[in-house]
Amino acid sequence: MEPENKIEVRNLSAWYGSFQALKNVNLDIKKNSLTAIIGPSGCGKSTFIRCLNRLHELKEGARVEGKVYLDGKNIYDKDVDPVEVRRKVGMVFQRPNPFPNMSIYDNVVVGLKLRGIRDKKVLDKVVEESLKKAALWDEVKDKLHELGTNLSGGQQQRLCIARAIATNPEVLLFDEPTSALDPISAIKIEELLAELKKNYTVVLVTHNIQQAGRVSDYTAFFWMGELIEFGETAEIFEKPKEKLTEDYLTGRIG
Amino acid sequence: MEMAITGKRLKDNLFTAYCIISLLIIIVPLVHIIGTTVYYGAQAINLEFFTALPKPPGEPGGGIANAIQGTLVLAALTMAISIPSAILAAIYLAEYGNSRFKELIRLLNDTFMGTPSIVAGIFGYALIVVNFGGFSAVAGAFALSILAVPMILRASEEALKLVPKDIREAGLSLGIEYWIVITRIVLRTAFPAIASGILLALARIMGETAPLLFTAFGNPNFANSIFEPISALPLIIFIYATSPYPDWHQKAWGAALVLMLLVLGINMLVKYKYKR
Repeated sequence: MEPENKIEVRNLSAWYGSFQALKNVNLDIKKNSLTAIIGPSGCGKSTFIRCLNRLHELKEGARVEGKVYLDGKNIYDKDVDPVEVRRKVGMVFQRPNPFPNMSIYDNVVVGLKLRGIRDKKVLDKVVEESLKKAALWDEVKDKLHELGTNLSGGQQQRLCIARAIATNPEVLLFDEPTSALDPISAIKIEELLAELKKNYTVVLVTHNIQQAGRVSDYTAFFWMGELIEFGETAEIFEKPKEKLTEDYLTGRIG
Repeated sequence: MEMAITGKRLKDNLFTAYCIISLLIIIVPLVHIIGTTVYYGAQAINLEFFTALPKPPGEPGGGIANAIQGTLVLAALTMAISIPSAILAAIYLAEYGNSRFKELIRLLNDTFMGTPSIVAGIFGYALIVVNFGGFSAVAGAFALSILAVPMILRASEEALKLVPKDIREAGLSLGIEYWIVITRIVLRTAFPAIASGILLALARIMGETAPLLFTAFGNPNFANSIFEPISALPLIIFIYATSPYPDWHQKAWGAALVLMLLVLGINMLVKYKYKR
């Protein structure tokens, strides 16, 4: 049975002022799978995922055209509240960015707390579950009330993943989540990604081709704002249809 | 070659000596002021000095409890007016608004920062004292706020701008409304720097005399409400120091010492609690 589409991107273009960063992208993202977005710096891969949770439009002069269907509903329709979109589509950033002046505990539940959920039992449960899913629980369970920024870089990134999970999203976007980390921390995050795709639809931007090969089910290759090729990862890596894709994967360009 | 190097070394030493001499020229009067204030001020200070009201002129004894009350009340009122308005304005400048309008606001704010404090006093007199029932603590706090707001606004805007964009995006990506991200996450991140700006403004206004002359006016007794004239430490320093009574001169020294210690305490708090 063909897995169902969680996200369908149709004719998506994006601009920063007069610079067009994305050109007419069409792409389907399957439910509970991991889709890797690869391509050289400046190819529009970060812009692409920032269009999936409506973060792109917040930059000054930024503009989006086209449609992004999440479960069949276009998130750019006039009646859609971007805040609601972001509740369903969580995001983890390149640099670990736990909130300063906030404990590990508060970092995890801040999204819920600021939505008015105060029940300590509920929050305690969410903290434990989210940190377990982010493979951080055992390392921090005895110091939940210490500052999140005191953790190591890799731990901070897993804390950010726990924070994103805690609000119970359906889609998780990762914008080069390991590029600021040491190799051992990076591998931990990779293992985590493979685990997360069982319950979430995961989109991973990475400039690390090997990483995409290791963890993703589908791969999309972007080049200068265009989607050049998209398909199952094994296929793209073994027999790419496009010359550009092959050149990028073999390191001839990029 | 040898000569040239010696010549350079001589110039280097001369320059260092010049720097040290300049430093001494600055430091000697400073130490002298502090030393004199401590020396004379300490002689005035005893328990009665803090707890009693002033005695009539020429009568020995009494204290400056009214001025201590005044300075604390004025500081609290000024901060109650300044902190919310300055921080909200700083949020507007740092997070919202179009840039040309913001430039204008910043220019006005910087101009305000350089305004002589007596102008703030006269403005407070013309606006509050004349129109709203005479001299009062509220009028004094209003005049002091004219000095405090630009300082807090500037510090808060800088502090908010130093919060990485990442933090805002991380908050937004959790599905939190922008204004809540700003007030509950960004503001919290910027808090130490904002707090140090607030404390520096507090230290500044506690030592101001000119804005109070035509607004708070002074009061030989405790003020029973914020709508009555009220005394303040810098006010009694001014009044006592220019009086003909030796006992009052001594009290002025005492008040100056108390004020100096208060400001020193605030600056220490800034330095060690909220390292800038």
